[in-house]
Amino acid sequence: MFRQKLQPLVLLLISSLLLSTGLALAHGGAEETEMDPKLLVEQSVAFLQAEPSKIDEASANLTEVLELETAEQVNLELVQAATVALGQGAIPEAVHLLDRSLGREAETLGPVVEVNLNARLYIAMITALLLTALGAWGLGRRSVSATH
Amino acid sequence: MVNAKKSTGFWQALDERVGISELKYHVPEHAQGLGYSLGGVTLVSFVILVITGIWMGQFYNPMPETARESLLYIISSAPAGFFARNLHYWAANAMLLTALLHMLRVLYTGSYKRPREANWLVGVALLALTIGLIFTGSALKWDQEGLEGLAHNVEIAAVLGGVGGWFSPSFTDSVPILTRLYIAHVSVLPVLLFVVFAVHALLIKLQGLAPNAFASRDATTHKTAGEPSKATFLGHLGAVGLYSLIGLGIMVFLAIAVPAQLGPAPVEGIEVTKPWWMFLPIFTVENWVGLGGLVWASAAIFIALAIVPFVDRSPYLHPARRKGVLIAYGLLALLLIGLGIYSKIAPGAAHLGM
Ligand code: HEM
Repeated sequence: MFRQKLQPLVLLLISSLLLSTGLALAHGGAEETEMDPKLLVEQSVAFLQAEPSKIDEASANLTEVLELETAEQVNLELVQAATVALGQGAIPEAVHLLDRSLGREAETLGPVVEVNLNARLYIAMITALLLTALGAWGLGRRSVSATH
Repeated sequence: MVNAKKSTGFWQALDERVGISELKYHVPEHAQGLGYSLGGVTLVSFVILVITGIWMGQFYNPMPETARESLLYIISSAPAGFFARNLHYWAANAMLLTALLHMLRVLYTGSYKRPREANWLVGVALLALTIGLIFTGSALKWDQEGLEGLAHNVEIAAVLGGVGGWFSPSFTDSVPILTRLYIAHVSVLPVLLFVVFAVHALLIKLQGLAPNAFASRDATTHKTAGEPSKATFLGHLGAVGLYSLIGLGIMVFLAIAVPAQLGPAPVEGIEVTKPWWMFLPIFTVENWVGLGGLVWASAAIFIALAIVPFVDRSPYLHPARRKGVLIAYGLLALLLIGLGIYSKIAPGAAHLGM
């Protein structure tokens, strides 16, 4: 009886799964269009920073940029130098060169939040732990008075 | 009224005017433990999120050209901006974590059973709203991760077709989608969450908390509102306050020691980041079956949650008498955790038609 009631639900789940697979397969295969060299360099930087294992994708982008005769907003010499650095596995240097090839400061990229703990922050952290201890003490007192 | 001691002076005057002692109505005795305080602790995180969010709202600029810059300003220059942002980040993690633990407690103790099925569904809606808030919030950073999240948003709109219209940038030409997500994040979703929570709380007040599942193997479900007990609602609020104080201490500590990150400036056309932990399980499904998987896997998870009270209809509360449903949902939870861990360690895949 109950199994029968569940049947439509199971069917719904299975058809959803099939539909999603279909959508996934229909998806993708976007046509290749000529890319903006600046965007290609920016993508390479992002690849190298977020996922250095994608070094091949980054290099492919740079090769594509270097095949262009002229590229507005990108210094091709620096891109060339970055390719050499990448060839030697020097990722930070390559990123630095690519940043400069776009005319931007290297420091504006990458994760930006650092913790510089100073005396004030240590005091704040200790206060935070005291709050926690206060809560635990209060709970302890409550359970003692509950058992008496 | 329980324990209505005669108080004097200031407290008596205050009580006469705001009626604090009215909160001393009976609640079941098991309501004082951590398990039954998790809902309240979740609400406290929400309040922290609202306060820190209002503060950040004074400095955040929700236009695509300036959003990341304004966030850098919050981190580096705005008064208490760094702290507000990090506390907001950790409170968001805490809110979802305690909401999930609260749901597991309700599941384990069978508290969703008659007459509380409707309130379970209201809870599922609260969970969806919480996740919606986290998703919209993570896009606002406007770093690489935020942009990729938003790109998913846009592609989901395409998968959903007509229904997804609101999620698409083409919904309107006059306001960028980032700004619309900001409006959802700071007004639509929090207001909805507040209203839905009010319904949740009202139903708890009308029905009372579910009876103690562990009182005996034969414990059954029923309304408890109005039953006499030694515990009071004011006492329950005290317990919630103390647990929340512990939570707040941990959050403040983390906000200083482990600040929220801000990734590199966004670059269109690539997928190199992974989402927050709560999205990792469906990210794996997406890696396997493509973008549609994200929509359908999320729908399947929420359907699986919504049907709990309709699958398990016996009146018994003790876990030993509800092994089937507990094993089934335990396996689902393990599956999701497993998928999440796998997603964290496996290399990312590109899903968007970029
Ligand atoms: C996300 C925000 C949520 C908040 C702020 C919240 C708040 C609360 C509070 C304060 C209680 C009183 C008892 C307790 O704390 O355990 C409660 C009870 C309850 N909640 Fe939630 N809740 C949330 C999410 C959920 C979810 C996700 C579910 C389930 C899908 C749920 C289902 C229930 C049920 C069925 C009860 C009655 C439990 C009983 O009678 O023992 N809630 N909630």
